[in-house]
Amino acid sequence: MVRTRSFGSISADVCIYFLLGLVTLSTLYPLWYTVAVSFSDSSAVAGGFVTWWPVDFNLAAYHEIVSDHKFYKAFLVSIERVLLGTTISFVITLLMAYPLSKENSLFPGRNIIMWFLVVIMLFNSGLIPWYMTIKSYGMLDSIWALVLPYAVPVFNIILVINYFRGLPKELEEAGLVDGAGPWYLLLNIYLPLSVPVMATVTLFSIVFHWNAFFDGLILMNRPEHYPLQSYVQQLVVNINTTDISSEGLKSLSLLSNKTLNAAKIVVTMLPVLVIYPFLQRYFVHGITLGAVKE
Amino acid sequence: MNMRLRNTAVMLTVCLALASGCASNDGGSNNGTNTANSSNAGNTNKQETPSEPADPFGKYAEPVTITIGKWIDPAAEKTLPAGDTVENNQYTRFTEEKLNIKFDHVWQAQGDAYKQKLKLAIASNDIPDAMVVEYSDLVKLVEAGQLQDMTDVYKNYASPQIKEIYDSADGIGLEQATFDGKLMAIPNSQTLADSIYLMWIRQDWLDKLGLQPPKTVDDIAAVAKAFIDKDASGKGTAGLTGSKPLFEMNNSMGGLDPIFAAFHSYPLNWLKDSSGNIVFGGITQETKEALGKLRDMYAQGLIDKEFALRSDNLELVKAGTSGIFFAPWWMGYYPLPDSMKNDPAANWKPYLVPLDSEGKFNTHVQSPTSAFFVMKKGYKHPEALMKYINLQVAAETYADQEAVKLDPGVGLQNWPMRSATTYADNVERNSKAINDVISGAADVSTLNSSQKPLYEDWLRTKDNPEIDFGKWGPAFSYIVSGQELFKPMNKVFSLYYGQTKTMETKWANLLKMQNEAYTKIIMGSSDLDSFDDFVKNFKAQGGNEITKEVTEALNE
Repeated sequence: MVRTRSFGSISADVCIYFLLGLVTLSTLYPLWYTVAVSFSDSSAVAGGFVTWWPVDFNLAAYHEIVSDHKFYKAFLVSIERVLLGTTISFVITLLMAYPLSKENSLFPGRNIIMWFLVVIMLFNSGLIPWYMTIKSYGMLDSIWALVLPYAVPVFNIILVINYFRGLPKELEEAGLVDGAGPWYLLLNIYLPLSVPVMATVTLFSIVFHWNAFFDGLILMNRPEHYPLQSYVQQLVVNINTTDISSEGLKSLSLLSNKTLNAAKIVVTMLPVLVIYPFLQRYFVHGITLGAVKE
Repeated sequence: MNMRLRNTAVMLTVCLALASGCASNDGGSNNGTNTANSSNAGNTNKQETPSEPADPFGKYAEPVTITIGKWIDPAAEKTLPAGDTVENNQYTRFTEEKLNIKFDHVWQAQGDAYKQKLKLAIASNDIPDAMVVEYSDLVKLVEAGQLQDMTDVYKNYASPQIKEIYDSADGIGLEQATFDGKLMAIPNSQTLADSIYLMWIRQDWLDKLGLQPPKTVDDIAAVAKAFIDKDASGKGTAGLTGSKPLFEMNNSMGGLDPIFAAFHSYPLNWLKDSSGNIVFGGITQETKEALGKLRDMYAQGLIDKEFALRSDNLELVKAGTSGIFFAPWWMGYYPLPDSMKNDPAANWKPYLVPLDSEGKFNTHVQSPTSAFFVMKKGYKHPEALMKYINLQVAAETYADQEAVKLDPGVGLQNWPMRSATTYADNVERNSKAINDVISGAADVSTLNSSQKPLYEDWLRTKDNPEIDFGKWGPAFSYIVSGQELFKPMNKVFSLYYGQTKTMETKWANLLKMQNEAYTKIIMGSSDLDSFDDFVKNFKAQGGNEITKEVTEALNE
């Protein structure tokens, strides 16, 4: 059936596409700008000549990154952090979500634990108590300070609980009749069925750990222990000249190298850009399935 | 399957427990050695003190270890030869060799991260033995009773040179570090030149248009107008640059401070008015006049239209479209090279203008002290810090003969604890020494190891800076713009650089209000008389209270 569309509906579509196009452009442009800057001549960038395309195209910034051992070190710390952090969060999410998805009658005390989780999700203690807690556990300046404080991702756990609750009870009952224990049920029935939601929360975890920078600055005692984002943050914060004496001036010309900093940001973005497409197909699916509780 | 996974889970838990356990052991044993060190040092001290007279450069018989939080300067770190680190380089070895003092870095950080670490250390009562802090932190530390009284240490151990340095700035630093008659910190001493802003102008444009360098504010306005009207840059010339804060006490680039000063307005200083009362410079009648002038200039398009919005207010300078800006003497380091790379014809010249109606150049001057060396209360060798500062300053000024063996190319921030402690007129001293050699009044051999490279770089690059902007910049800054600083000028110190009780809570808001009111007046969105409303609000919202506190502090 061919339907002729009225002029109004076509023009409405055009408007919508145009507006959405603008929104897309406004989110993509900063990224594109960063890429363009990273390939430009640094003086041209300082003069504000770069808008769409690189000016005096060159790879100097990338050459410098390749020879910067601090960047590599920070990269490795970040990889370590993401691997450890995501693994620990994955295990803990799974092990907490399964029992908590049961009814209070099956798991007495479940509601108390849930309340506890919601409270810690909504309120936090503030910077200094947080810092002192981590310090008194002796975790300062170690990779665990970046990983263990975020081991229990409450929001992710709630997503997974709701997802588990949405799965047919009959499956579990059938397993019970055949003599499966809770471990077997969790690992061989629930886990394979919840790939979408687990992929989603894993993606959350990866992105969170990859992007976190503040804790690295505060909790690490040596710049060489910084994860990548902390390292990059150090480079791109605005330099306040009123803080430096005239002898620190040399650092100004060094730090004001926007080209190099843009190149570092581009390199930093790459891993997440690469991972996203592989996990994204679960993403929308996972997040909405967990959202509605029957 | 079942069993295997359960085992894995158990294993993982054990791993976690072990790992966190290890980490805590680590921290524990570190602390252990630290206390052991300092208590050892303490014992030796007790045996020595009676027999040993106070010697500012006396070497300890046993190594003394001071724990510090280290401020890292990435540029200085890059200058280290291969194999050396911030913890072990020529300066740390020099300190150890001469004084037998070792520094143990409990943490390192740079920039804002350093400040955050420091504040956390203070808040959690876990400060290292010695630190360099800013004034607001010093006040907190003193109030919390975390600091060692340095009065006697300074009296007995400060070298004559250090005392001379404080005298060169009238002892303002020591006054700031004194609380209830006790010296609680050793102040640093920075060069005052950083707060004197010169007018930088495109000499090539002046020549092209046949103009004379401007002298007064009106001249500047006329030149800016000519630059714009005749489009001196050829790509749409803009007027003077401005900056978001409008004015700042030190090292700010592209602000409008000298125009205020030409009207005898010092919007951040504490001043005496004609009847001898203490008054904040931001609410004086002179300031209103200056704002009126700036408002006119902005309305005529002589000031960058977007100055209040720019994240990089010197962008126009670097792009070669603005030909006049105000900034300190060191522009050769940055941003002039960027400007010259973008426009090879660019020829920037500094002038000590604008002059006021009496033909004098006025300028605010920053506090000679921006940071303080402090020692944790109860540390057994408080004089070690003083000895270290003595040595560092003597080495940097080559008062210590042995310092010639130190390579001046290695960044000074690699000293274990460093905050510039130098003569208030250090830039002028260096500039004079080198210029005397250039004019033939002195011999090259009179230059010290830090001045000589500047002289040599200048000979090599003065005619073609583009062969090495990195060398040209410092040489140009000291030799050419340094000369401007010899010219007569009226340096206006603030009567008070400290922080009163009420300032802690209200000052930031008042300054913000000041900035907003001024910006609106200049940009024309509120009329000049709204200045009087601002003054009223300023006084009502804490200004009066603070003025009273400052007056009291000055009368003490």
